Amino acid sequence: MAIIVNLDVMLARRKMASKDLAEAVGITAQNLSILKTGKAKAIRFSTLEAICRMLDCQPGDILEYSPGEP
Amino acid sequence: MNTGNNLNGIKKLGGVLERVCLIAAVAVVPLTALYWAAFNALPPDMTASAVTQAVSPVLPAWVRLLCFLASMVPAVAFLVTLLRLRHLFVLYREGRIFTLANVACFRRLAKALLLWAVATILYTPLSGLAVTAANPPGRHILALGLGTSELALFFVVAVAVVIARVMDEARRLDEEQALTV
Repeated sequence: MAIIVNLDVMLARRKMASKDLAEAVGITAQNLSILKTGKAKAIRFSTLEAICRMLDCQPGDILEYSPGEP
Repeated sequence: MNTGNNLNGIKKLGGVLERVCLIAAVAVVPLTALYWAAFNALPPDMTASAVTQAVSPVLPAWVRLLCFLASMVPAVAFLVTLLRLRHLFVLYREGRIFTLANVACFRRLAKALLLWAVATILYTPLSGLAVTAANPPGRHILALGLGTSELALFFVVAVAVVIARVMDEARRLDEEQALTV
């Protein structure tokens, strides 16, 4: 997919564990893994908002558009 | 009805229908054999359609064997349909309703129904030849017909094909829903 999820990068910068973010955002660790591995087909605005609030960042810090990707 | 109750209902009913299909599938061949074995002793209402073509209401054993073999053509197609239907209900019993296996099952079911429709059409000339096999020369019957039951089966085939495509769309939506975070 042309949209790349840089959640693992943001988690590393904030020194936060995936498990803690999942708990704070209110999604399952499995769903967070789907998001991190780029398998997600869509992300709800409410989930994105919660992630941005927890990581103190903008949606653009998490989502990146790469035209070269299939 | 909420989703949980609905899914439980599907599982429960799927289990019951799976058993019904299995019992029917197991009974098809023995019942067909029993019918032709006991043909001469059956009440006239049950043998009328065959007896009208034969010169004698009592059929010799070799004719009944031929009739049984002719009957097996639609019976086997019906058996295949029942087994495919059973597989679908097994999936429902396991709570799998929007998977690729369901879609494949519906497609195979449509093919089995088509086979059944064709076999039913073939049965008319085959049974005619079999029942009149002992008739004197010139009294053999070769009939070919297309009735409402065969046309209804073709309609059911078309419905099954459409349902298979709808199920494929449902599976795609379900996968998308599962991967929405």
